[in-house]
Amino acid sequence: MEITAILQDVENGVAGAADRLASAVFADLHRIAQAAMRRESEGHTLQPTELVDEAFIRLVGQKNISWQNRAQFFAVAARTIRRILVDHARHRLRQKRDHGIRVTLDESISSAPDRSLDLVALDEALERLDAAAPRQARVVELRFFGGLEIDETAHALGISPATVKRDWTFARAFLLRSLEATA
Amino acid sequence: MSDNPLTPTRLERLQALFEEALEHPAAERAALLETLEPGDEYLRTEVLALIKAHELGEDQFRSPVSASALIDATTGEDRWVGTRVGAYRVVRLVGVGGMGAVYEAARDDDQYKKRVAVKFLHRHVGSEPALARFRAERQILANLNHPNIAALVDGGVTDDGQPYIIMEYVDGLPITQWCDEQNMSVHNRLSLYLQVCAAVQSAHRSLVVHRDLKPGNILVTGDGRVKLLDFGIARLMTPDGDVAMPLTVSGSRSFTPDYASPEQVRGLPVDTRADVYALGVILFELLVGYRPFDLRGKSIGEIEKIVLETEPPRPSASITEARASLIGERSASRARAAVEGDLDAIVSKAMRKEAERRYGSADLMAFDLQQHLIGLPVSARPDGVGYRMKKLIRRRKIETAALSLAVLSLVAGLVATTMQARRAEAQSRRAEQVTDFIATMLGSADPASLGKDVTVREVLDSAAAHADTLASNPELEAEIRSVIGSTYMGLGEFEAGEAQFRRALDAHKRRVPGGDYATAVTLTKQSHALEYLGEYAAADSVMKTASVLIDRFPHKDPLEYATFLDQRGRILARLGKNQEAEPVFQEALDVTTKAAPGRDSLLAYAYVNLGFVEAELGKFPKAESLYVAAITSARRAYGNEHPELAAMLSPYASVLEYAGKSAKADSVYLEVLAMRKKLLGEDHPEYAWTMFNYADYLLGKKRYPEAALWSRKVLALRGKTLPDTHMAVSTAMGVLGRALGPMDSLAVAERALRESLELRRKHLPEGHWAIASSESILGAHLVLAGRYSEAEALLVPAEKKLVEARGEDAAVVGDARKRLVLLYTQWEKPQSAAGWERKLKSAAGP
Repeated sequence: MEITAILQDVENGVAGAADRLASAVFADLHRIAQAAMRRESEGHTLQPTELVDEAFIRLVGQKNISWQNRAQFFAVAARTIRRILVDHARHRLRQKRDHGIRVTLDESISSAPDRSLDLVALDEALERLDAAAPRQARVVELRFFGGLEIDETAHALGISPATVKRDWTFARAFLLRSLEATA
Repeated sequence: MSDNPLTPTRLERLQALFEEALEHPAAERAALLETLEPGDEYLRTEVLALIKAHELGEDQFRSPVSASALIDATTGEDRWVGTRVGAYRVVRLVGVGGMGAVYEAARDDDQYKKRVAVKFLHRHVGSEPALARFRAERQILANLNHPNIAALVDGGVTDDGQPYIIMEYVDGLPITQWCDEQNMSVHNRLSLYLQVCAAVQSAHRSLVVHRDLKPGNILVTGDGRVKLLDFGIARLMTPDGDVAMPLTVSGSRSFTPDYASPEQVRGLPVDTRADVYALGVILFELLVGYRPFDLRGKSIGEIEKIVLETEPPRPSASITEARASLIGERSASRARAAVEGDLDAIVSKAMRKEAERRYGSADLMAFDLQQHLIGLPVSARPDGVGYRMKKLIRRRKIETAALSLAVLSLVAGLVATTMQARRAEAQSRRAEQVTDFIATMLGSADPASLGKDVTVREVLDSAAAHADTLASNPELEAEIRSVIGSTYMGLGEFEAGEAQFRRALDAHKRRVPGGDYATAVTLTKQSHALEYLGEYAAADSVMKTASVLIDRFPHKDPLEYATFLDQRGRILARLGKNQEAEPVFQEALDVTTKAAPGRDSLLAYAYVNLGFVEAELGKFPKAESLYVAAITSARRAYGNEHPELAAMLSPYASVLEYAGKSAKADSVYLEVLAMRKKLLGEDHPEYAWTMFNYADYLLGKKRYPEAALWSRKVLALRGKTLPDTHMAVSTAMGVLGRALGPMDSLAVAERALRESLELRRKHLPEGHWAIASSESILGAHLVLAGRYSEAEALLVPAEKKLVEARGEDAAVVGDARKRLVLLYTQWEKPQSAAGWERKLKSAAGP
């Protein structure tokens, strides 16, 4: 399969390989998500990690593939999902501004403590974290956007599960704090 | 944070300190950090802030990744934009909120550019029974008819199980923002706020609790009108919708904590008084500019503690200098003076921790605000003489400058005020009792006490049983039974509804034996129920009593009066008394046009009812234009596929038929048949009527085999969904008979026609025109069979009765005369035939 070759390239640091992988993942995520929606309407909710797993299985198959490969794939998938969602959130924001819409139908959209996270602000905060603490930022990306568990994240980044746990706790607090400060 | 660049080293240090501090008990952290990092105050504060953020818990940091989010994002646009929902096409996303995404949508056809808001709820409705319940509950919300409540236009479930509701689109600002932008005075804010109370009260009377009142749900439109959004939506949102649609949900916390009452925060069942609490918070915010409790960034535990234990501050004490100008006052002290006392007391009473110590209803709160606005004592304040005097003096100051009369008027005023207060107390007490009762009903719907499957029907049944205990207070009993009855009607439980109205009337009789305005209103409702049960004669006599009562009152609520007129007219028309019904419907249309311009659904009814009698009276051009007006309004109100629309298209088709526009009539018939079959199912009585009408039309077009086919379909429902009392049975039998006649099945036809006549004689009041019409039709059949003298014995008296009942010009009279002409021609009595021919022509002439 072509994708294994791309993964090999990614592993060997071939220029542009990560981008090629990302676009393959991107195309497939959409199809997977659509299939998942049908299942969701039957009461089955797909977890983010299953989504990425499924993308992996569909793109790569369950052939023998080194952990390094698998970890690369997850990293790219998580990064891709992050980009897709954040771009979309930004697009929505822009649309709102363009139309001069006042969001009046439901106040909880913008203000308030427990509402859904502002992805655009989160992305910006994550960039800031990335600048000073890239490892912690990778942990967030894999856990938050890729849906990986502690152990899988540890494998993917080649660090200990304990470190992942500590980084995750800290990074989460850091991001929440940043969101609060910008709100 | 921005003024302290985060270098990798500092961040590492931050993480280390954070982890270290987390290991220690909260109380020791500050001291610990002081020792570990004495030089860097910024880092120390940051660590504590991080810990606070950390304690908000993982709940705050749920992954945004879901299948639907990815679809939306990967298609580059929204998954709903451009799709069709009901009769609407989704135009754009307006916002995404706690309960789901909100879109603007427009009618799918170009004809009516009606804007609506579509909300997709975060909830799936899977099974058929759950769906049916969703629809039933939605119907109750649809009946919330109040100018200050954004109307629920429609609601349903998309093919893939996504429930949605469609609401009137409201372009407005949250009430707090609107008031601030206008620098509104306290007085004007209160006046506006009274609209909010009225809307909430009206919903509570229909047994709907909002549960999530907040400024974002209370908008003010450009023309200064208040519109409440999302009424009852919280209930549609209940999580275990696949199992039941409980009225109250324990343990669910889909509310905004800032406006949530203590019982909501604790996850206990809520009733109308949770809304009163929220109203208190909103009034506070409207006056002060911020909310009584600052819950930002607090954990669930902290929020609980604050809402359950902390007393809210007094609004007057919370007004800042900056605020004063926003509420149109020159200084904070002036602003505080305007709020101090009454308004402090009113907010405090609305926000009591214990529900039973709050205002029993939004009405009672509004009453106090009104008292305050006109300078009279409010119930929320201690009843001391000193307070009353102070009030009075202030009031006098406003009202009169005649200082020399001050003493005298003070005494007079004191008496008047005391009396007023006493009357107010009596009024409040009753309103409070009604609300308490409703609250108990909603409270008793606690899933824990009644089992999981609590439906509106069950709550009503238990409320109806509970109402027996109110016998000692007939006024209260009448009001409550009337509410219960209307709710039964909303659920389509006509018999149960009628029983409640009957008992409400018993209570009225104990209260005022001769009856009064309230009695007339209840009688109107009872008549409506009887009509739905097919008992027209009883419905008619009820309306006669109501008419006598209502005519005694010169000042009537216009919408209530329109309802009354509509009911009276409808019963008259049902009984064939169209001459009498015509002016009644005309008045109903006039009243409605004046009282409710733009209320399309109400207008549509007023048009269609008048159109109906005009058609019955043979005034087809007039009827046709009334129907066109009705259908235009109905399409605007309901879209292109709706039971109400079908109910209007159906008679419109008949009118077109009579007006000789056959091609158009045929296509309208087929539209209605298709719509009804889809909406109602094949067994439904309304569908039966449509089939009958079509059969009758086909008969008129001499398409006999088709006419027989469709009337047989109607008769197949006899004894199943159509009782013999239903007009459709006898009428369809008649059509079948007449269709079979020309098809040479004379004996079968005669049997059908005779049975039709017998049914009508049995179930209609004596002298009803429809009996005469049946006799005339049977007579015509006997002409075909060559039994002329038998025919004559039926046709001659039938014509006479029809003229008496319907007048010379009625279409049925013309038909009867044509049959007489046919009889005498066939019988070879040309003189008599010519005589009837002349009568026929002179009546038909211009």
